[in-house]
Amino acid sequence: MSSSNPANAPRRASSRSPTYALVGNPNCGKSTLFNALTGLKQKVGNYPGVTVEKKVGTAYTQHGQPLTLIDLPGAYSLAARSPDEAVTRDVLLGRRADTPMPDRVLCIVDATNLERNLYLVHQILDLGRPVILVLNLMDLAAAQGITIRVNRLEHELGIPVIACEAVNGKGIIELKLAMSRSESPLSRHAWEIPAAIAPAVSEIQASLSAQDRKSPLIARAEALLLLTDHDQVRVTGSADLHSRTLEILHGWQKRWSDEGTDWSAALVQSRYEAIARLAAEVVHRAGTATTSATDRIDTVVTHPVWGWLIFGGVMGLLFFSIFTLAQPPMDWIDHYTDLLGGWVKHVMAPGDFTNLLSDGVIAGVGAVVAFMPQILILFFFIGLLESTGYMARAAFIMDRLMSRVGLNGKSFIPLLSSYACAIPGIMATRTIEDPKDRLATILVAPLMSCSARLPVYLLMIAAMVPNDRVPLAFKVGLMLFMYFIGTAGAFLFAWLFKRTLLKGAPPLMIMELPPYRLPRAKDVLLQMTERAGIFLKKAGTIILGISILLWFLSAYPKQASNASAEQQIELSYAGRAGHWLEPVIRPLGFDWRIGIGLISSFAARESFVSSTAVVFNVENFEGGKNADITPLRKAMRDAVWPNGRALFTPLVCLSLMLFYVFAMQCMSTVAVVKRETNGWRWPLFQIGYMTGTAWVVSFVVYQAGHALGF
Amino acid sequence: MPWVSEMSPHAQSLIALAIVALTVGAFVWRAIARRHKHGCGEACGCPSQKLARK
Repeated sequence: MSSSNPANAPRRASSRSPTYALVGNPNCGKSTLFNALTGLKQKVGNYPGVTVEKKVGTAYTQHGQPLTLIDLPGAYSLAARSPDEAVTRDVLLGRRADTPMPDRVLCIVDATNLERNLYLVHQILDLGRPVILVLNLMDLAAAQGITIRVNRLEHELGIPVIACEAVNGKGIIELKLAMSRSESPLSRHAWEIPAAIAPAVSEIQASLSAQDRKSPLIARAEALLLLTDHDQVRVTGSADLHSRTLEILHGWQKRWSDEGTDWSAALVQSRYEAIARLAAEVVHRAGTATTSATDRIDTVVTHPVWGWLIFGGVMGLLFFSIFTLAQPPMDWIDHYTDLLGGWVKHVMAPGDFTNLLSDGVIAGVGAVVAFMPQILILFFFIGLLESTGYMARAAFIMDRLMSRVGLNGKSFIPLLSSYACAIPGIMATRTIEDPKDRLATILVAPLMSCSARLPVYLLMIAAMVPNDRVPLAFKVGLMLFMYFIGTAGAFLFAWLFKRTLLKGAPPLMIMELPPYRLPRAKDVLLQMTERAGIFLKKAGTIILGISILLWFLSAYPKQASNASAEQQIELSYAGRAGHWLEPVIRPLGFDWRIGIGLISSFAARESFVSSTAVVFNVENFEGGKNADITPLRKAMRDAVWPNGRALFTPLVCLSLMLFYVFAMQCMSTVAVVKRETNGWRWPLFQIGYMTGTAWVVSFVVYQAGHALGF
Repeated sequence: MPWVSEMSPHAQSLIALAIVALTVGAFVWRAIARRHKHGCGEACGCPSQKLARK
């Protein structure tokens, strides 16, 4: 048997303040600890090339010296199963050129489940970096009758072990003191690896040191990982291994395969045995296991009947809040966007620059900002549900439904997020381990009716139902029907993709149900503002650019000064595009003017409303999502085909709404899908299948309705 | 700011077109700059790569 003891390694001295990596299993309170240590001094970004969030913060020592803290994505082990976990592994192994290898590691574990959490700790100790172990949730452990001999654990591992309750701030001072030490001890914990594996480890370690320029301990840890993990999940930005290293690795794997021995499993087993021995020494459970409060709540919350009722109630409250609480601030933003646009036109001389600022920049950015209240409310709820532990239960409940269409419960959160905007929804798919499940979720997420479709639905319903005395419930029912159609379409296509293009093993969801906790307002608000900032930055910049281009396309080429606004738009580049598109959309009941709206919707769906207003020459129309649409509705009712037939019949309005339900009309989403899938293949497929479906559905509805005399 | 309220239509058009050109340039630059970056490579975790290998 061979011993792996990192304590024998030379230590790296550094005069600068050390960088800590914060690592831990999901749901162990890592984000709470990160927030407690760094406060508002956080910078959120992405690891280049992957949409995995990179959070870097600054904490301070007891002497006020800054410490850099990198919050790595949660992982159960360094054997990555998802892009999130791959980033954690790569940063710790120094594989990422964009992120320096951390000097020290802050490893946080859930004290209520120490043995399982120790697997990751054990792998990290192999790296030969100074580690501080934080035992979080000590209060919950005590409530469950679990006692952890902290001093014994510290003695066994040879590293500082801090008992902590991050939610209450207990143990934070002790942790900061430990982090403030200029010298941090290396672990003296050793574990036995099977002797038969030792030559393989040594040979790969030597190659990693020589060919890949890894330090001896990192090389050893990586060799152990390569032999057990096979390095299956790689992400952009991760340095590739040298061909010689891979050759040696494959050689050993083939040799073991030919011998019929599974030394990889033996290596994992050896690690588990070492952890079990350690846990047996330091963890003591009092008496027999009793039913915890979490278990008692779960009997109701995950009940086959009550669980669904509670889930429905929570979702109802979420949607009610999004559509009602967000309205006043949205109106307020719209109002001030219009005021700002008007002010620009008032103080500036008439001309292209003025129009570009007011109609392009302000209207375009304003349209995005107007949706911020809905986005904030959605992320507030998501943060609340995550921090209480309910989100995992929601995914558990949804798993049965999702599995019928070939997805697993983890697809639920991305699809839910897509009701506000497909962009954060698609970004949220990174937690789905199975690449095919992840891709299927990405492909169907934009079918969930996002908030940008709302203004179009509102306008069409207003134009479709001529009698204002029609009960509100009818209009609400029509709106909900559109949401239902989109959701049903998403499930139908997921089912179809999982049986054809993305055929694979039946989805299996393994997820932990964390204990229920009281949410911390600070964490929820911090997460909400971070997400909102990311949304604004990404969506705002792209929409700003496209708004500027769209303004140009509708304002050029310039017509004679006596030309009307309608003539200007008809002969503009956008108008010509509308005429070019008309033969394709005429079977759906749309003319070239609607075609311009469809084209402009690629920048942002809601721009259909303002572009329609311009096209139909509504005087004094002030754009914006919640602008008074009465004059527009009247103009739409008066709009006719050249033969005098009404253009916006109820059937055309329905056809148009259905087109918007299915069509992929969002460049920002296309850009995110392109980056998420690392190429143009899938976003182009998505544009094709969604827009094709939109055309077919609208065609069938319009032609069938027309044949029936509507 | 009198210059703002007295800007000639010609000058306004020039500025607007310059902004449009800059925007086009920014989009082109983004598209080109991304091509220079490395892709996921073999054995990548990205779905497209996984599927491409089949």
